[in-house]
Amino acid sequence: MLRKNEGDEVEKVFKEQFDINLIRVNAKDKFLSKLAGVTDPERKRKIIGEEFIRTFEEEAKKIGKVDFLVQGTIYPDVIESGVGKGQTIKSHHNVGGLPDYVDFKEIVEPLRNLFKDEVRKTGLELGIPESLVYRQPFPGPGLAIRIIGDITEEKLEILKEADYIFRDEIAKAGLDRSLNQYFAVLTNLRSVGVMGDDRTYDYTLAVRAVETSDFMTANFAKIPYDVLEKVSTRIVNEIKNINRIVYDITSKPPATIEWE
Amino acid sequence: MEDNEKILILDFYGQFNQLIARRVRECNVYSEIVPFDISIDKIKEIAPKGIIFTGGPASVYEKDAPTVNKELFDLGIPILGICYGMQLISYMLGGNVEKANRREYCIKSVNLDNSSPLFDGFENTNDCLMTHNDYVSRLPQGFKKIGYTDDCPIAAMSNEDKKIYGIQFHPEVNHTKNGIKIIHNFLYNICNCKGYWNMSSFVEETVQSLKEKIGDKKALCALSGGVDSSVAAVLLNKAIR
Repeated sequence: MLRKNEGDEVEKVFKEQFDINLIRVNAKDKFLSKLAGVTDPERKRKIIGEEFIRTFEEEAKKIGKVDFLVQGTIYPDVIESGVGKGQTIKSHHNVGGLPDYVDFKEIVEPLRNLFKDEVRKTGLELGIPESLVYRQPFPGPGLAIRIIGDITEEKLEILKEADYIFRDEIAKAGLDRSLNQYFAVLTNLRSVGVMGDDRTYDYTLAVRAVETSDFMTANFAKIPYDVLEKVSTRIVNEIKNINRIVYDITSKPPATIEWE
Repeated sequence: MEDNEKILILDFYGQFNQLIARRVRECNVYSEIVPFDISIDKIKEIAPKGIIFTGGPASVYEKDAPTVNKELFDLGIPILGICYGMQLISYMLGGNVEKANRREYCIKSVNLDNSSPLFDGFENTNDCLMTHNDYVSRLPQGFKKIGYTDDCPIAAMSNEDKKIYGIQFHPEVNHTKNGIKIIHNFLYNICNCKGYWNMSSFVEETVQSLKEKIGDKKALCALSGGVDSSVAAVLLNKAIR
């Protein structure tokens, strides 16, 4: 459910630059089979959260007993889990109950006192590439909630490619730092088009870009028309099954940034 | 960390609490948000360089309004009360707090007494975000007025001897012009902070403490590729390889 090349990029950084003992688990098929036919966004989110935990458990079992489980919990999570309510701080499991099944003695949360911008600064301090440190927020359920309706492998591939072209053109136009979040959404709407001499009946893709400082409110970005035109031409030409592209011109509120 | 310089932020459920903590850290001083009812003993143990009371939705004169132990004002630790925090200081030390005829929720030009160490370097007026229903209508004994607006007769107050300060407006938000300078002044002019907090010392200390904690035992880290888990993984890797 990651974006195009994303898994490889992360793996490359950690294996080559940091020489970390990393096990990469590709559970795409498992996720896809669990998600088959599911259209309700909340159900999708739940299924993915749960599968994530199950997959992690399976891998952890192979490793056997560990002494410590390390998590990337940060300070806002800690505060939100009850510091102001006059009670002791609960331990916050940022992946939703994850450690219950993993055999370990203690949770270690080295970032639990840091704010997000401090985590980024720490990342730079440690030599993690800027592209990883400043990557745009990406929802936990990944691309699954950017495919409206049921998810199939075919749709996933279409979205990955389309999203990649959109991001590529945004970067070429030099807009990647000024836009806070930008992505493509594959709608489940199909419409009639004409390509060459053939009538087509294919998917409509939506592209979205927003500017925001806090992600609580956001304005849709006024991307220049010529950039949008390039995006549209490239996507329709390079990707089969998309014959129409729309640009999302709602702000948050009333809309949300993500579609699901 | 060098002499463990820390600011405690007592949480009265204000909506900008996290921002206050962040602004303090942007001034290179470590800050922590704690419940308003933290015990005096705990505060003594932590020995913070200063304490900030946040804003909050309650009214000090209501039953069950969040409050603090009065001993807190006698510890000799500098205190800055923001909004509700200022009203609480006033109320507890014998001043008066009342409901305003007109609630203020806007950016106001506040007249400041720039001879106060809190407003060092400011002009006579500054645009500040006011958002409140209640206001301090009479100063507690030993306090003087160091700020006011057309609608709010006491928008800032201080007792320089006891190092206790109150401001009705919110220095932590961007709507308040140079708000961070007020926080900076509190930290450096009043609390005598030195500014030890930065990310390279954090990395050094964290790697060291992870080393001590984990040693040659086994640790497992779930890495999603997101910023948080990536940074946690690299820190861990530095400590135990």
